[in-house]
Amino acid sequence: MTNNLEKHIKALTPEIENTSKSWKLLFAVFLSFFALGIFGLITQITKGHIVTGMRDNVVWGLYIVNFIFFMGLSYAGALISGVLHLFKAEWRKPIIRITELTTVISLFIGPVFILFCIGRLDRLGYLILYPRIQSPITWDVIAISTDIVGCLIFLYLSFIQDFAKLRDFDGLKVSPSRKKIYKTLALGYYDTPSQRHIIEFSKNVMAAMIIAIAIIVYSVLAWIFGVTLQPGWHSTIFGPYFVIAAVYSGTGVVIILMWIFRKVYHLEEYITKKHFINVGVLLLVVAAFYGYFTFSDYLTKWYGSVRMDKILIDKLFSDFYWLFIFSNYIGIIVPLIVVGFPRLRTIRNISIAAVIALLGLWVNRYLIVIPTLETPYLPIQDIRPAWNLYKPTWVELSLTGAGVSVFCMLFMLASKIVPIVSISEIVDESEDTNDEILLSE
Amino acid sequence: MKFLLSAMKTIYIISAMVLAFLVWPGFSASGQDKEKTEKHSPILAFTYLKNPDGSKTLSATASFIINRQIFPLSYCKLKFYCGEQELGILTSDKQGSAKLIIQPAVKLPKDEKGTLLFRNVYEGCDSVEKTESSISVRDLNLLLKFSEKDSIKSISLHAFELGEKGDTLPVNELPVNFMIKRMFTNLKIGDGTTDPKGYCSMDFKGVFPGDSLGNIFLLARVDDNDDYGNVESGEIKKWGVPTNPVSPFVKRELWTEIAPIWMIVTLIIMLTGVWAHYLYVVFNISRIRREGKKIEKLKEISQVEKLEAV
Amino acid sequence: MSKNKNSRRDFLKLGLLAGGTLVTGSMIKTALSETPENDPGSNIKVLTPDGKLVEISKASIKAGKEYVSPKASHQGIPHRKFVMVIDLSRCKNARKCVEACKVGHHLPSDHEWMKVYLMQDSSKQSPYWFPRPCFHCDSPMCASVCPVGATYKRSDGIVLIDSGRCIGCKFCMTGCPYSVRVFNWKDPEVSEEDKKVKYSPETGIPQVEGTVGKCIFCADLLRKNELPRCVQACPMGVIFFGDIIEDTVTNGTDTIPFSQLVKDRSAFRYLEQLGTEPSVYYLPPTERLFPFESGLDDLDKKVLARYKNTPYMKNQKKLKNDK
Repeated sequence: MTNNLEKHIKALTPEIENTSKSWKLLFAVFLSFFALGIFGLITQITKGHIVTGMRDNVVWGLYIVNFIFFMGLSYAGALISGVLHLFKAEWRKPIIRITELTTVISLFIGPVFILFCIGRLDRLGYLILYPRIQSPITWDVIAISTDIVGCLIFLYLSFIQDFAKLRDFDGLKVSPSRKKIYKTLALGYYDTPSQRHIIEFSKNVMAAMIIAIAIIVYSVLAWIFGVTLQPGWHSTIFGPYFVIAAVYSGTGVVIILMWIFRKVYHLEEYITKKHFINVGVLLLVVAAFYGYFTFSDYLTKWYGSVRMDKILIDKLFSDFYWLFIFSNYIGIIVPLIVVGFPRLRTIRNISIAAVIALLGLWVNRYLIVIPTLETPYLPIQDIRPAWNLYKPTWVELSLTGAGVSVFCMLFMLASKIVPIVSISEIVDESEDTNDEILLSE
Repeated sequence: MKFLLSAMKTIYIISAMVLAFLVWPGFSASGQDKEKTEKHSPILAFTYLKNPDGSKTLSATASFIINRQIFPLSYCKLKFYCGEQELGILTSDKQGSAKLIIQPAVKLPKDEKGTLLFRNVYEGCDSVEKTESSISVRDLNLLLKFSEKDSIKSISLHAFELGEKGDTLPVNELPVNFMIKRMFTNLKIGDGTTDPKGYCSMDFKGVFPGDSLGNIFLLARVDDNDDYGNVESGEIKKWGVPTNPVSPFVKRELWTEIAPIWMIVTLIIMLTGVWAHYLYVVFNISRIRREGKKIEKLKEISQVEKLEAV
Repeated sequence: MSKNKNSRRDFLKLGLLAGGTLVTGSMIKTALSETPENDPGSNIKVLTPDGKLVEISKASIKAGKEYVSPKASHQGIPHRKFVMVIDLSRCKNARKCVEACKVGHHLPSDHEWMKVYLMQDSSKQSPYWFPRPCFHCDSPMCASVCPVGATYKRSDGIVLIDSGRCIGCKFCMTGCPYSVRVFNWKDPEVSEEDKKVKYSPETGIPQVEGTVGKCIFCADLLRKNELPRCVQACPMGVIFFGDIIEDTVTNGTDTIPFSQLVKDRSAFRYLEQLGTEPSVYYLPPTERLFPFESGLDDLDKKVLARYKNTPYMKNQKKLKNDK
C-alpha cells in the first residue's frame, strides 16, 4: 500500500523534487515571449493606444478577442470538475487537477487583456469608486471577481488532501521549509471520516456554485455585446451562445492539455485513451450544440435580411470568407467527424480535432468582434483612410503571445509546487476499484 | 561615362545651392520691405441699439481679412464719441469687440436737427491703418400698451420723439415688428406700420409657450431704420402658456445615476446567495482545521506519553 | 520677460492661423503688444449719468458663471430642453460647421466632432449631404453603458463627457449607433495655453489622452445664451437650434416655432427605429437650394478621399471611365 502511494506520488509530482533541464529551457522560451509582450505593453503605455490597430470605428480588437477566449477556457474547470463532480463520473479523477488549474489560470489571464484595452489604466479604481450598476461592465467586474474567488476555493478544496499526503509522505526530498508550507496548507487534514465528509460536502456545494457562476459570467460577457444596438451583436441568443462556445473551448483545451501532460510527464498510466474518448464525446456533443447555435444565429440574420445584417453577412462572406469557413465550418465539422466515427477515435486524432476546435473558436471570437465594428450604421467616411479597417499591430500580437506563454508558464510553475494529477483522488480510486490502474497496465 | 555623369550631377547640385543662397536673403529682405510698406485696413463693425429700459448699447467689432479669412483685432483700443464729446476708450476682447452701455440719464449732445452722431475710432498701429465708423440716429421712444378685452389680447404701440420742451412728436409710417424674446433670438409674431398719430396695434393670437407661470417677454422692435437705428421696447406679460418641463430622468432609469430598483434587488439576491455559500464553505474549511489541531494535540500527548513510558 | 514670451508665442500661433503668410507677422505682433494680463472683454463698460465709465462683469449681466466645474456640469440649464433641426435641403458640404467646431473646441487636428457624410439610401435614390453632430438622445445608450458615470445626460437634454472621470473603456463608442464618439488614441497635442485652462466638461478643453470626446452642443456657449459654433458658422443656415420648451428654433437669421418647422417640412429623426430618441431632427432634402454635386467642388483632396468608397463616388468613377 505504501509502495503504491509512493509510486503515485513520484509519478505525479515529477518536477517537485528537482527541475529538469528541458523544463528550464522551455520556461526560458516562454519567458522571452513574455518579455516581448512586456516591451509591447511599455510601448503602448508610453506612446498611447495609437500603437495598436484599434481606431475610432474598431475600438475593440485582439485584446477583447483574447479576453473572451481566455474567459472561455476557464469553462474547463466549471464543466469537467464541476459537472462531472456532481454526476460522480469516476473517470474524471485523473484530469480534474488539469481542468481546475486551467480554470484559475485563464481566469487570471483573461481580465488582464481587458486592462490593455482601457485607455486610462490609472483610473481603474473608478470602477469600484464610482460604479454604475446599470453598466454591463460593472456586472462583469462583479461576476468575474466572484468567479475567481469561487474557483480558488474550489481548487484549494481539492488541494487540501494532496497537501496532507505530501506532508505525511517522508519519501519526498524537498527542503524543510517547503515541507512546512505543505503542512500549513494541509490545514491539519488527517483524513478522519468527519473531515472527509466536510471536504466532500464542500466540494459539492462549490461545484454547484461554480457552474452557476460560470454561466452568469459568460452570459454577462455576451451581454456586453448583446445590449448594444450594433448589427450582429444585438441578439437575444448571445448569452447561451457564448456559454456553449465557452464550454466548447474549455473542453478543447482540456483535451490538448491532457495530451501535453501525458506526453511530457509520461502519465500514460493515468490518462488513458478512455479519458480522451470520454472528453472527446463531450466535445462532440458540445460541437453539435455550438454548431446549432451558430447556424441559428446567422440563419435568422441572413433570412431576415435587415439592411445592416445583410451588409454584415455580406462582409463575413467576402472580406472574412476563409476565416468564417475555418471557424464556423471546419472548426465544428472536424470534431464531429473525428469523434463521431469510432474508427477515427485515436488519441492523436482527438487531440488534433481539439486544436482545430480551439483555433476555430478563437477565430469565431474575432469574427464576432471585428466585422461588426467595421459595419456601423453610418458608413465609415473617415478622414484617415488607414483608420477604416482593423489590422492588429505587433504590440497586440506580442501581448497575445505573452498571454499564451503566461498560461503555459503558470502551468509549469504549478507543476513544480503541486501534483499535476490529484493524488488523493487517484489513490482513492485505486483503493475503491481494486487497483484498476495497475490492472490496466 | 558614369564618372562624368556623377560629376555633372554634383556641379548641378552645388550651383543650385549657390543660387538658392544668393536668392534667399534677397527674397526675405523684399518680404520685410513689403511688410513695412503695406498697411492693412481693418473693418470696424459698429452698431447701435436702444434697449427696452431706455439705455443705449454701442458695440464695435474690429477685424481684418487676410486671404479671405477673418481675424479679430484683439485687445486693441477703441474710442467712442458722440459728436465731439468723448464717451470713453475701451479695449476690445479676444474676439475684437467692445460694448458700451449708455444709461438713459446721460445727456448726449445733439445737433440742430436733433440727430445724435456716434463715432468709433481705431487709431491704428504700425501695420494697421486708422479707421473710423459712425452712426447717426435720432432718439426714438416706443411706448407699449397691453390690453385684454373679452379674451382678445392686443398690443398697441406709440412711436414718438421728444421735442425740445419735452413735447411728443409722433412718428408716421414707421415699420415695427412685434416679437417674443427667446433664448437666442426673437421670434416674430406680427408686424405693422404706425399711423400719422404714431400709433400701431396688433392682436395677439396664437399659442406661445412661456415659463412655468406663462410669462413671455413681448417686444416691439424697429429694425435697422435709417433715421432711428435699432430700437426695442417690451414688457413681460402672462400671455404665454405655462410650461412644465417633464424631467427626462423619470422616463428611463438606465442612464440615470442610480440603477432601477429591480436591478439592485436582483444583484443583491444573487450576490448574497453566492457569497453566503462561499462563506459557508470557508467556515467548513475552518472546521477541518480545528479538528486537525485537536488531532495534532492528541498526537503530541501520545508522543509525550510514549516518551514517559520509555 | 514672461510677457514678451507670451506675445511671441501668440504671434507664432496667429502666424500659423494666417496660413503661414509672413507678411502679416509684425502687424499681429503690434496688435498684440497691448495684450493685458486679463481679458478685459469679460467685462462690459457702462456709462453712468455723470459721464463716468464703470466696468460691470459680464457674468453679473448674463446668467451663469464663466467656469463650470465637472460636478456643476451635471446640472442642466433650468427650464430648457435643447433641440437641433438640420435642413438637409440647404447643406452643400461647405464644412464651415466642421471647422468652427474643431477650432472652437481646440480639437486635435484630425478630430472631428461634427461630420458631414455623403449619404445615399439606395442606388436609385439621390445622394445628399448629411451633417452629423451628437444626437443627444433622450435614451442614450452611451450614458447607460458607462461603468463609471463619466458620460451623463442632463435635464436640458445635453449628454456630456467628463474627461476627468472617463477610464477609456470605449464601451460608449460601441454603444452609440451613430459613431458619434471619438477617442484620443494619442497625446491630443494640447497647446501650452490650453494646458493652463481649467477643464470643464462644458468646453471639452483640453482633451485628455485615453478618453472619449464628442459634440457637446457647445454647452459653454448655451450658458451665455449664444448659439452653438456650428450653427453660427454655417453660411447656408442649415442648422437650426433652440429650446423645445419655448418651441423656438433659430439658425441665427430665421427664427421659427419648432413645431411649425417640423410639421411643414416633415421632419424625421435618423434611425428612429432604434428607440434612442435623438434630440436632432432632420428636414428631408427636398427642393434643394444647391445641387448635390456642388458639395464636391473646392474640396480639399484629403476630404474628397474620405468619400472615395461610397457607392455614389464609385459609380461616378465608373461612368467617367465608361466615357
